[in-house]
Order: sequence, then structure tokens, then C-alpha cells
Amino acid sequence: MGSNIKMTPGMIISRFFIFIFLIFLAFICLMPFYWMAIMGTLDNGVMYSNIPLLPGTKLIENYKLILEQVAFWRVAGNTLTIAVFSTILTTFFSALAGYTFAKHRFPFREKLFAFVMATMMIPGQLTLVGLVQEMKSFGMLDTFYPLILPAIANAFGVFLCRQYMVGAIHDDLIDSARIDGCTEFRIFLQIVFPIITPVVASLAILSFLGSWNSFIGPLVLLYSPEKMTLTLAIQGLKGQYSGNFPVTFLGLFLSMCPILITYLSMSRYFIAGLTAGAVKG
Amino acid sequence: MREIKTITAKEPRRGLHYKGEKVRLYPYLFIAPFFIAYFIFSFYPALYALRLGFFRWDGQTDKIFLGIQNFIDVIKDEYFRKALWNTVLFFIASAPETTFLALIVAFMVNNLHLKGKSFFRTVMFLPNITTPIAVGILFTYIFDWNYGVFNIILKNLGLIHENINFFGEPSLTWFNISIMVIWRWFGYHMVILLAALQTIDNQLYEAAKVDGANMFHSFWHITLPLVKPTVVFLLITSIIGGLNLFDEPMIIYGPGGGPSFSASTLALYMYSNVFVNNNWGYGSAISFVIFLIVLFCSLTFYRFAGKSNQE
Repeated sequence: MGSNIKMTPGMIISRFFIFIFLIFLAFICLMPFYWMAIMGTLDNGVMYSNIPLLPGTKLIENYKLILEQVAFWRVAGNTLTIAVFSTILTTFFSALAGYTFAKHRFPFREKLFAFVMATMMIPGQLTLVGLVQEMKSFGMLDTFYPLILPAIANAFGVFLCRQYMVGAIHDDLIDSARIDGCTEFRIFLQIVFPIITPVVASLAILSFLGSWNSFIGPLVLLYSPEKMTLTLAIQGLKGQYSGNFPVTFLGLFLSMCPILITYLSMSRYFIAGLTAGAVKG
Repeated sequence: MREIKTITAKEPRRGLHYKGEKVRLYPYLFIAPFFIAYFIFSFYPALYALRLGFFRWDGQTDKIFLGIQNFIDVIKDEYFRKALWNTVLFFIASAPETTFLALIVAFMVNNLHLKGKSFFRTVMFLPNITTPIAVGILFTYIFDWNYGVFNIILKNLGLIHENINFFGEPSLTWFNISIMVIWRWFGYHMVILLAALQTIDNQLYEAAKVDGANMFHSFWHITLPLVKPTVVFLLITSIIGGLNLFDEPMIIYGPGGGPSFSASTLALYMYSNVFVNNNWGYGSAISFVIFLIVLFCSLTFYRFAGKSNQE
């Protein structure tokens, strides 16, 4: 992809400065993660005297302090449970609805799809007050259900899947399956779903991250300590050890590890899904 | 209607027909879960909140009907106005900057045929996958009054003599919040703009270069017009996100809204009314007013942007 035009010395210099600028920005993006990683190993007193640059030796002590305050692994399990189930629901039902909007013709299709899109405009936080009361009357307050089940209605997911399927699946394929006597649901499950794996993967990562990182939902819907999620636990650590950054940071780092690993190993899918939704739309 | 006749000629017409095709049930069955879940978990709660807005209720004792008194109070409420102003201030101090910086960087990464394009993309997107709570705690540390890295750096550079109390000083609140928002969202905007830039034919730039255009010219005359729809999309996302800003002020300043109420946003004010002070009716009225503001802003912007796009 090299340019065919010869570079003047001025262009080389400006390219050099731009490169330095970009490296500087990348550094600002990365440095906090590095701090987060090493700070969990530092001694509280040592840390404050200067900018920490190297790891310390207090990892075990800090880890024990976390366990004194929260059942960390249980909380991580809760978070994982919520994230996994809501991801499964979101991907399955978004793909199903997206497929229907993309490949089937039925009365009011455009109007119904416009409604789905309009729901994206309405931010979830505003329905929170009513949701808490509703869940109370269902007896679902302080359970995982109100954090998992709303994932069935993910307008962004429906949009993403529809966009992808309009181009990726040929009508002939569906028609021939129909002639072979496949039921509509089997067509979706056995023919359509395997084809759309890339977009499903993107949506799954996005949805998993969203659930893993969510804060206000668990904050108002869960209250017993044994049902807490990681974000709440970290908030608790921050309150408990307000003067002790290393302990809070270790908790943060542990809670971030799964999503960091997921992101770094699948960033290609991730960015593909994200941009497919935004650039075409 | 004519098409129906041809079909009826072949097979006996049964069931409902629409535009010449038999109306089947399964498409509705396939999209029904979305609508049912949306109704249960969003639509009904929103209506419930609207209804609650007409009452005084502490969440436990009987509800007292107030009529539209809550809504009048919200509009007159000095703290609500302050929260609205803060929300707008944080938005202005972060959203345009984020998109602008992201556009410049995306342009640089894309046009210089740099090695490591995907490296920059992966790294710069990293802050966006971070939990807001992590961002909040990171920044609490970095900007800490006594021990913060930022204060240490400023001091070592000789720029300040006394450490700055970033979180205690009301006039600096907008700075702290915006820095966090920009740090977290810059990469997201960059990645999306980069994808938009990659759809632009490279030959346009080559041709401009041959004609003697410098980088500024090609940015202004080629890039900007072509990425405008994407910029509009990002700004609408920012409006919705910005008007609902909650995580950052809540994590750093807590539900009280920080020094002199300088960190209170609309969403935070709603939260503290309902979930801290148990003013369910008043909080619901606030949430409904926020909803109207969001709707008004995004529709206005959408219309404005849509019009200028057609030109």
C-alpha cells in the first residue's frame, strides 16, 4: 500500500512527528493499564512516594485483603453467569429477529423495524425506576433475571444482524431449503445461523462486555452481598480501602483480566462488528 | 390485487393475504420475543415511571396523588437546573473534542500508510472496553491531591508549586469528568471513523497530491465531506450518552454530586432522588423530563443533520 510519490524531506519530517504523536497517544491509552497491573503488587506506603514504574512484592498480602472484604471468586462467578446468559439470549434472539426482518416479507415489516430502531433512542437508564418496582412485584428483585432477560430485546443486535444478512445470505438458499421441506425454524437454525457466525461473534463480544461492565443496573437491582457483581464489589473495595490504592487496583486488574484477554484475542471480530453497525448506518 | 387472482387460480385461497402473498404467522413469532421483552422490561416500566411522576411516594407508605405538581417542581428546581447545566457543560467539554481528535488521528493513521495500523487501532480502542468503574478509580488515583501521578509530573516539570486538589475544587470538575469521558470514548470514535475513512478510494488522495494539495487540503476537501454521515452518527450517540452521563460522576464524586453540586448530572440527580432519598415520585418526574430532553435533542439534531446531508 506504499505511495508511488517520492517523499520530500519535509514530508519525512512531518511523518516523523505524526508518528511520535501517535505513539504518545498510544502510550496514554496503555499506561493506565500498566499501572493497574503493577499497582496490585505494591506496598501501600511505597507507592505514594513516587510514580510507580516497577512491580513490587505485596501481591499475596493485597490479595488476602481483598478476600477479607469480598468473596471475590463468587462475585466473579455471578458476573460471569449474568454475562454468559445475557450474551446467549442476545445473540440468539437478535439473529432470529434480524433474519426475519432481512429475509421475510410480511405486513407491517417496515413499521415494526422502525419501532425496533426507535427503541435505540430511548436510553435504558430512564426505565430503571419503573423496572425496579415492576421486578419487586414479580418477586425478581435481587435476582439475576432482570439483568439477564432484557437481553432478549437488543435493538442494536437486531440492526447489526439484519444489516449483515441482507447481503450475506441468498434468497435462493432459503427457497431451496424450503422446497426440501425444512421448517422455517430449522432453516434459521441449521442454514442461516452457521453462515452468520462472524456477525454473531461480534455481537457476542459486545454484549458480553456490556454486561460485564454494567454498573447502574446491578447497583439498583441487586442488594445482597452474595449476589453482587464485580463492578459493585470494586466500588465496595474503593469505599473500604479508600486510602489503599493497591488493594483496589488488584481487584480491578483481576476483574478486567477476562475482558482484556477476550478483547486482545478477538479484537478483529470485535472491531469488524462495531464498524459494520456504525459505518453502514 | 390482481396478483392474488393468479394465485387463487392455482390453489384455493385460504387465510389472510397481503400484496399477493399469503400472510404467515412465523415471521411474527420470530420477532415476537423482542417485542415481548421490550414491553416487559422497558416500555411498561417507562409508563409506570410516568404514572409514578404524578404521586408523592417514599417507596413504602401509600402514594399521594399530586397531579402535575412534581413536574412543575422539577422545572423550578434549582438543583435540577444545575444538573442540566452540568450535563450540557460536560457534553460540550467532551463530545466535540472526542470526535475531532478521533477524526484527526484516524486521518493520520489511515493516510500516512503507517506500519502498525492495526496496532494503533487495537491499543487506542482499549480504554473503551474498560469498565467505567476502572476508569473512575484510575483517574481518582492519577489526579489524587497528595499522591497523584499527574500532580507529581506537574511538580517535577516545575509547572506548579502546590499540588492541585482536582476533586475538591468545583471549578475543575468539568475538567476531570471530560478527561475521563474523552479517554474512554476517543478510541471508539477513532475506530469507527477509521473504518469510514477506509471506504474512501485512495486514488482521490493520490490525485490531490499530484495536483499539489497538501495534507490539510485533502483533509478539508476530500475526507471531511465523505465522513460527515459517520460524524453525525457519532454525535447523536454522544448526545444520548452525554445526556445520560452517570457512571463517571457517580464513581468519582458519589451520589451527592460533588463539591458545590458541580458533578451532579441529570441521571445522577435522578438516581440520588429515587435510590438515596426515596423520592420515587419526584425522581420519576425527573426521569420523564430527562426523557423528553433526550428525545427533543436527538430529534432536533437528527433533523438538522439529515437536512444538511441532503444538500
